[in-house]
Amino acid sequence: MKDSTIEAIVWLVATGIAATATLLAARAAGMEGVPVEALPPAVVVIMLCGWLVRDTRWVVPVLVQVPMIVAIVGTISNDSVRMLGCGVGLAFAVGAALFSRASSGGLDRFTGSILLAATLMMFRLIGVPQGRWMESVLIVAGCVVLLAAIAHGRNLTAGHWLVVFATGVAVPLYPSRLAVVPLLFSAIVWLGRSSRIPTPLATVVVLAIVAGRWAWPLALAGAAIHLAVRRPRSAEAPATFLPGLWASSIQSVLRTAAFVIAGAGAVKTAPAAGVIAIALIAGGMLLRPALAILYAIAAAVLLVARVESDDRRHAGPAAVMASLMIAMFAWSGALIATFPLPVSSLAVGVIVIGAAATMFRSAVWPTYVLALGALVAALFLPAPGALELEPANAVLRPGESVNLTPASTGNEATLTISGGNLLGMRAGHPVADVDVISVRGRAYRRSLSAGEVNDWAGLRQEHWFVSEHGVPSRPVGPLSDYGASSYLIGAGSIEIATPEMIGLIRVTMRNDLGEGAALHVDGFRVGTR
Amino acid sequence: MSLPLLTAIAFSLVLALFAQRSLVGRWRNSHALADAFVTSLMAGLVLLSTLLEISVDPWIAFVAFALIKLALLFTFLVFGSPDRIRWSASRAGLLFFVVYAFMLPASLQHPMNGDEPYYLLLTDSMVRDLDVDLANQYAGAERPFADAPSTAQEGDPVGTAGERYSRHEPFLSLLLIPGYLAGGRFGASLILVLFGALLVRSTMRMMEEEGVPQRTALLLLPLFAVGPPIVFYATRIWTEVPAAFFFVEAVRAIRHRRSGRMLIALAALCLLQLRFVLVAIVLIVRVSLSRQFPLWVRTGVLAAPLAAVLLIWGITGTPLHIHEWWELLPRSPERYATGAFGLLLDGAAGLAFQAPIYLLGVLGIARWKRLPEGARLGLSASVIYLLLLVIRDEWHGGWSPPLRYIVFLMPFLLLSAAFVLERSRAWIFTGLAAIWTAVLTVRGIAVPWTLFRIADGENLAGIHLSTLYGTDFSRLFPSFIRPNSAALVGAAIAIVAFVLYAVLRLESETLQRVRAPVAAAFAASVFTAFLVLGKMPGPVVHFEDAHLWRNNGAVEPPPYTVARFRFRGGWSMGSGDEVSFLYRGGESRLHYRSEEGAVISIDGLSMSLAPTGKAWGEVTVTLPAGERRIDTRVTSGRVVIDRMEAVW
Repeated sequence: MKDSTIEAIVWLVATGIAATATLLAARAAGMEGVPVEALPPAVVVIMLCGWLVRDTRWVVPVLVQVPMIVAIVGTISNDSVRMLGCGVGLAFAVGAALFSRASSGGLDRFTGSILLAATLMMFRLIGVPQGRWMESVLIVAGCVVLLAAIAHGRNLTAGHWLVVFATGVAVPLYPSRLAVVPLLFSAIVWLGRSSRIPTPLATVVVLAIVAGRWAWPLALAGAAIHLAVRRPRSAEAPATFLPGLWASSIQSVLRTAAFVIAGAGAVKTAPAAGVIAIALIAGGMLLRPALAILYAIAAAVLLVARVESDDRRHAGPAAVMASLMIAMFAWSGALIATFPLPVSSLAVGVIVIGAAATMFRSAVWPTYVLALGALVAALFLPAPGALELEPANAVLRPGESVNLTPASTGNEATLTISGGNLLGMRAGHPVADVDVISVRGRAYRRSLSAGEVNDWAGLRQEHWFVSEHGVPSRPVGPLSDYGASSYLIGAGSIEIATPEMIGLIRVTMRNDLGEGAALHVDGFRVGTR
Repeated sequence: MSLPLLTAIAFSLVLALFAQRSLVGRWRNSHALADAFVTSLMAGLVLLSTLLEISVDPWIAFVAFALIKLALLFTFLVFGSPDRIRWSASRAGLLFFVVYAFMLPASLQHPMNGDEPYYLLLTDSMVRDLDVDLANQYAGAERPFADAPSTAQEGDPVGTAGERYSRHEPFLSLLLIPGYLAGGRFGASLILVLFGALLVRSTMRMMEEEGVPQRTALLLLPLFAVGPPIVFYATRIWTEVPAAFFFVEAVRAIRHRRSGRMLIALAALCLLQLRFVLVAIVLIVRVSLSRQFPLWVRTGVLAAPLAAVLLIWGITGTPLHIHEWWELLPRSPERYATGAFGLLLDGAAGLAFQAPIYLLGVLGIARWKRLPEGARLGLSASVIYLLLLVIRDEWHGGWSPPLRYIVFLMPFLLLSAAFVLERSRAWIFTGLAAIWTAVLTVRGIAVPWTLFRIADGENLAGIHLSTLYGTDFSRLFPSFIRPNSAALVGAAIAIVAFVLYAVLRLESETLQRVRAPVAAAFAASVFTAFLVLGKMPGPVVHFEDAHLWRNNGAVEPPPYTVARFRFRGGWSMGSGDEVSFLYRGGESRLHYRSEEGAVISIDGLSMSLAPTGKAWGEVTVTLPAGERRIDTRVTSGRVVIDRMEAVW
């Protein structure tokens, strides 16, 4: 028997043993449900990554993740921490494999496709809602086709891989027709490259019709971009834009500002790509959040598809960005709608640092200081999810109000509120008034709007595509469920400070919100700033 | 701002400054970006933790953060080509001086423990009274410093006129004087930090001199410097780190024939503690018999141990201080085996679980002739010391951070480990050992009181898992303090591994190529087997162990009993006290002690325990077979239950 055959057999057997051991460990540790389903495939993917880097110095750091996952499963009792730990292990392995292959020019189409399919399956097939298997498989297959389309006739870069992977992560599972989105993108890429227009054009048209009305302008824009931008100068600019695009789709002023700063840096190095990306995202922000994300990713895909560069220097940042997403694989469903806020903040931070690097002659000290500033800011941001609140448990219908009498005194009130049947409410639309009445009887009014107070289930996959508002500006969480079924609960936290001690809080729901709308006041707390 | 956060920020900036000085050009910029990414990642995790409802102790977070940053810097140093890094042993010393100094705030917020306050009290006596008599320090109403002890340690020498001398040699306390005068406990600790940094520098120099490639040295150095046991003694007032420093310096001086340095180092080593004479004496004999040194050196070197003995004799009136001649006599073979394997494998006090990277160093002994000369000299010099250590009751170190008595040996085990790593390329093991080391370091710095444990046969990992699952995981960790089956298995595996390493040569390229996946799968399987076995009930239940659910009672003997490890213990229960544990049932023996007898109920079965006085007795208990939780309750009387074990 050939040595290579023996080696392959040993790898296969080791993979089987490692996956079985992980499954047994998870069961012995008392884990149940989706987390148990997720662990053996995660180990298989790590072993696959080990195989891909078996001739490099990365093989040991990658394979160490296998026993590490078993150790984490066995020694930690909190399922969230366990799954985050496993996610970090998986992310490291995939990131290392991607970086190792891409930086050495060894990321061919076959390798990239295998890695992409394996990783995306972790996102789309673990904990998939009942009856949604076909859609999930179609999304994964579509992404593999998209990667093949982008890489056709040239070298595959980590940036290409990242953008296609992001497509696979972000396509909503509902409605079913959205499962063709990756195939639609593939067809548009094909259209842009093919000299024979009719067949790919027909494919684009058919797929755009299947995908829905929202896809029609995208198909047109895609074709137009291909005609307008014949030679973008950098492969990395659109790739590094991705997190910024995503972050800005969360519609936060701070993040958008950071994105603009970063954009300025990117435009300096890749003017055409930068300008087009900014224009697209600006347009996307006028749409509802789910569409904004799809448009943003579409922009990245279309730009990446046109790039001829084979620059390997940015394999690292691309691998890091991919790893950030992969680390959250246990909450892949929530990732579709939210791209968890801390990670997007981090992504923006990295972009800002990257931008700083282009602006300063020596970027070293600004880099250190900016990062430290981010850490301090994160530590000093109030953590609404960790607040101990007095339960209110009041459900309001339009026009109704509730009086909340605090048990303690103070001049700052914090409320956690979520909405019901508010999916169609655009961010900024007023939904309630909060009157804070001081102990001396003076009233202070604060108006609450959608965006602060969101639909409780607005981030669930069933509702995400039609929801007009995204993640609450100050989400309380928590993340619910695991795998493709997980979602972030839409409750938000609101703080109101007054110059006087607070005696009473009254929440009144606006009466013009339509039949069936409701507000749920979960809890409140009064303290001193 | 909280102290942990301030410390984290200051540490980050100092480390950044250090990186700037140690890395060159684009490599430096790459580090800056990677460092920023890690910091940003921490920020992201802070925010994410609120959504995942995870809370972390601030000190644990800080230490983990600092270790990650340090690991990142060393990653750049290890993978940087020579033209990309500026590195030297002195730079290493400076770096770890900073690292240890930053650990001080975490350490100083907790009271001193073990021997620490006694060393400082002796320093105080030298400074205030210009003597080493502690009688007035113990008697005084006013404590010279916070945590100052008010009573002598049991067995401390007493002078003819009622003087109270410390059981500890005065040399370390003497060295602490400048620091103590400048800043009390903080200043004294800073002296130890300085010794820690000097030890790192000397060890790095020794590795360079012994031909260890810089990349390997840089890979192992952080595991040595911020791994157990060095890191736990580098900020504490114990003689171990200074002794290690002087030992390394002595060996280096002998290797390079630097007479003056050698004499100072050997004298200091002997003066630090009398037990180190056993180490120094081998080096001294070697020097005396060597023709490579001038005659005055070969005779003068004999003055080092003599000075130590005379000093102690002069102070306490006895040349051996608190030791006695019979301690030098041989003991039964099983004592040697217990102590030696204990130092190697014990879950609470052995290298395998407290500082696993040094196992590679032990393995290196199997290829003795190929070891670097420095490692051979250092390790061979320790043989007499080790032979006399392993037969002592407190081979495990007693009330101190783990591996106390062999801290001085670590630089030479590290040198040996570097040799093994260079040849065996045991990277999976090294990776896992590094992760485990990081866990131990974070825990030891952030929660320092856990470093001091009663020697009861359990370790913190076993306690954690036993508490988590309510079953006896501790039995799966080899214990030579309370010998168990795992100890036998561990010893057998250690012997086989040692022999295999000595005789086996893996020449096949295919075997080399598949080692990594096989090792990963094997390690995963071992962890899983450990977990599955741990959840099953064991054949023996020790009633003081962590896996029992208890309602009242107390550990016996009490935790602060002097030399507690010499006594047989258990769980003391009075009327109404209860315990519950997972057990397999069947015929079993209950080992107990009850002065006046007691009535207990086990699994609903009431039974009388006959009085045993001060002695231990046993009674047979027959329980229905089958795995279940057994509730045990004392109905009347008082009893100390040691253990229940199945009859085979």
